Amino acid sequence: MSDAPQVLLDGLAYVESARWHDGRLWFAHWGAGGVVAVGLDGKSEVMAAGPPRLGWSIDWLPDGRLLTTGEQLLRQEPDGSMVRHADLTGVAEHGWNEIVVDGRGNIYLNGFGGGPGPMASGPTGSAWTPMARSGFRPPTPLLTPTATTPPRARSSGSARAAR
Amino acid sequence: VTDRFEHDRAIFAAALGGPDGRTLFLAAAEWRGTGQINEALAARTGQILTAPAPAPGAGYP
Repeated sequence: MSDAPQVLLDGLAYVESARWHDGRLWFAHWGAGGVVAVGLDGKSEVMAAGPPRLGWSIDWLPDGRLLTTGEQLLRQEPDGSMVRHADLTGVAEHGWNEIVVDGRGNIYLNGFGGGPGPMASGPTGSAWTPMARSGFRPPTPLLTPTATTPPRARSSGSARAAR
Repeated sequence: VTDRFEHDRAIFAAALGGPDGRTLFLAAAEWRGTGQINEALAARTGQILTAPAPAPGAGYP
């Protein structure tokens, strides 16, 4: 067994969606409603608003703009405000939880609380394709370094893409 | 499994990062079940932990 991990930051509520980005570790601070970045020196900073609910995640478009999930897929604008990145109304009854963005800006999401399984879209989020058979529901979509285009649906599945 | 460690609370998420990608970051908190989520949030048991990793991260995220 390895030595015990070191505590970098504590006193937090629930912490999810850990991502190394721009020299710091960022995470979704569930129950506190913020996106937090912490440096290796332990200094932390709230970088964006997040939804008050549990069950949401973060990632970035290739141009550096932050995306957050939750009831809606939101994008942080340069002035710090959060705006809707794509209209996913009616696609997931309980909103969206996990998100991964690849190096070309393709976005991968899965639904919260029994909602749709993994879905993929180009950077604008204008058209969504189910990524896998109905019932396939990994906790976090993971992509290889060579991932460049959204995988094609392997079956029609039960998830329904936004048109 | 290449390695393991024990911790006194649940690990909710993990990421590889750091300047050379060889730091494992862990997001931990006490999980008290779905019936006590508000109590668990109020207890503020959440942590970010670090540990050395043998290889840098790859892929997304």
